[in-house]
Amino acid sequence: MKLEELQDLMRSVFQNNSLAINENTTIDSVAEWDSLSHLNLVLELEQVTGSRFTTEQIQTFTSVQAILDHIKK
Amino acid sequence: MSLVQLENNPWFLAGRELLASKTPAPQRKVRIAVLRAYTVESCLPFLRKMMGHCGIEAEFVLGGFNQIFQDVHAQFSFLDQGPWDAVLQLGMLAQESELLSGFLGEQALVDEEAKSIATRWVALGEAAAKRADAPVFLSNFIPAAPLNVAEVLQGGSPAGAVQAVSSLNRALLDALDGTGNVHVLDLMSMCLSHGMRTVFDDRMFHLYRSPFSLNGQLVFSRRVARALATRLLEPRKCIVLDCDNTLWGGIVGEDGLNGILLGDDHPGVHYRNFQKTLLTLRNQGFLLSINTKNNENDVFAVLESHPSQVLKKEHFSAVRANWEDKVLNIRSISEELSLGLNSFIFIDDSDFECEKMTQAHPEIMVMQVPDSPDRILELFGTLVGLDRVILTSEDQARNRQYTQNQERSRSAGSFERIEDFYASLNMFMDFQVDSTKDRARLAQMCGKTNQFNLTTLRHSQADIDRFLESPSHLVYSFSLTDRFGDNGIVGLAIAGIQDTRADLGTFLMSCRVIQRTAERNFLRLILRHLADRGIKTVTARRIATEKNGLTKDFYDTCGFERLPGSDDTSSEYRIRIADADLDLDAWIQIRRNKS
Repeated sequence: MKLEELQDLMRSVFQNNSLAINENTTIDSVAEWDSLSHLNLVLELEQVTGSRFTTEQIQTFTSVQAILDHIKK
Repeated sequence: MSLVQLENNPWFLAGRELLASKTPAPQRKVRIAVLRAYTVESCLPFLRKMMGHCGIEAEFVLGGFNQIFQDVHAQFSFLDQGPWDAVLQLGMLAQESELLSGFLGEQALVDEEAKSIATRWVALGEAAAKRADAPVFLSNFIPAAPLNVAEVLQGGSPAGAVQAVSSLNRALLDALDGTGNVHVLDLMSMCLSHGMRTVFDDRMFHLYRSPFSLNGQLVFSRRVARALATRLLEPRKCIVLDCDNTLWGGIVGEDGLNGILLGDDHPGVHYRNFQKTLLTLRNQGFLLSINTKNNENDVFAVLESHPSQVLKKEHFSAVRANWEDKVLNIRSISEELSLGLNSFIFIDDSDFECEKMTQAHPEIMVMQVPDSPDRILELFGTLVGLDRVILTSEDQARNRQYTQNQERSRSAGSFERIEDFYASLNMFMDFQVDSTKDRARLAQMCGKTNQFNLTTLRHSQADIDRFLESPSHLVYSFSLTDRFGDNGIVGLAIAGIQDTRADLGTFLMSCRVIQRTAERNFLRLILRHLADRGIKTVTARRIATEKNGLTKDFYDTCGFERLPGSDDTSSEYRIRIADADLDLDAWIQIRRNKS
């Protein structure tokens, strides 16, 4: 998954069309990214990538880098 | 958005496409209070969007997480910060009962537990409705999780999870009296349609107390939006149908009676199932009509003699099989049935006819039959106007009444004097005061009656209950029987009493019994009853709407004096009962039930 694709997805899930992310973006640096919207982010990521994450993985996806690292594998 | 098609239909769009979709301009704005045992925050964007597609701009205000009891009963509660248009009460089996969550308890214990939860739950709903002064949608229960343990026994044993949940949901229905301000929000059928495994997400439940998968969030949001819209929007009443490639496949005028596609195999079976669904809707109180460009004889031949035809001539309240413009036809159906066009659904396969109807009458909900007949039934899943919160026995009887009305209009032609016609109807009027047993019907009439309605005040069930109890209000109603059948409760008036004066606010009558002098006899019975209670003068008013033109001169013709300051939109009236004509017409026999 490319950074731009993840950004599109986050814009949709977080309902913020001007959201800009980079590799250093984390759950703490995006106002709309909280534990509840995280839930929908994960569900949408599963949908897009066709995979199913474990509960442990879901809990580690708290930064853009962590998500991209995992999905590249 | 009055044209409904399968393509790009919001009811079929998945998550992100749905969020990006455009909603029509809202017809109304509402505030909904949410009492919940679980996390619903993640569903709210979908829910707001689906409400938007129903024409409603909704604000959802959430109660505390798993604090339903506190929100309903604590000294301070967000429920006091109304006004609310509705309340959602969302419980969860896992929070309520381990016994019913599928651990194969003993049957007697299961039933006992189900009953006690249901009683508690409904009592909470009733208290919430009172505190919020709004109808409550109480979710029924779904299994606590997909059934992994002893799956074969969960439905097969009387105490298994499937039976336990069924027993609980049945107990919920029994605990509701079915007429109050608490309705069931049916999540169980949602799970049956979509499957627990596609709706539920165990990980999200344990991490965030959010029970739904992405698909689950969507189907949940749709179910809730649909239930709310049923209560918040004006209901549709009449389904107007094209024939060729709608009720059956092919063109009867070209393919002939035996050439049309209608039967028990593909593709005819889809049309047959479509007709069966329409018949079910008719039994729920919808009226069916035909509006088709065809020779009438060809259409009647199918209705009467095609072996696979489900809908017969008597199921249709009006038929227009001719070569006229369908827009003109639908207007004449609207006149014949005395129903406003905004209560119509029009179903046709042609782009042209659908477009034309939408442009001429955007208030009509137009549904285009999809190209592929195996998808016809899917469209029903998207039509919010097709739902009913409560099916009253009145709804079920209405069909018969309209069919009888057709007979009545026909026999009217054969009398020379209209009085002879009235007399031939053998009318019996049951006049009632403060009849609490009909409270659901009284509120329903306030919500639905448009044409013979002097003030169109939309009193809720709670309002009606207050009037029934209040010593300073009298609630009058009547039912009417004639030789064709029982029309049920068809009239309502509410009088506020102060000393020797009474004020008539609501005065309405169902269009089923228009044009047979019931209204003026009802009014005179009310004046007589008021006189018996020492009332000297009665005031009343008429507020004009787009639909109640029928009532324009009602009070004038009944001898009321129109007061200065009245204009076309609002008129005030007064009458001294001593001056009023209180004679009842000889052709209506009165049966009085005084409370």
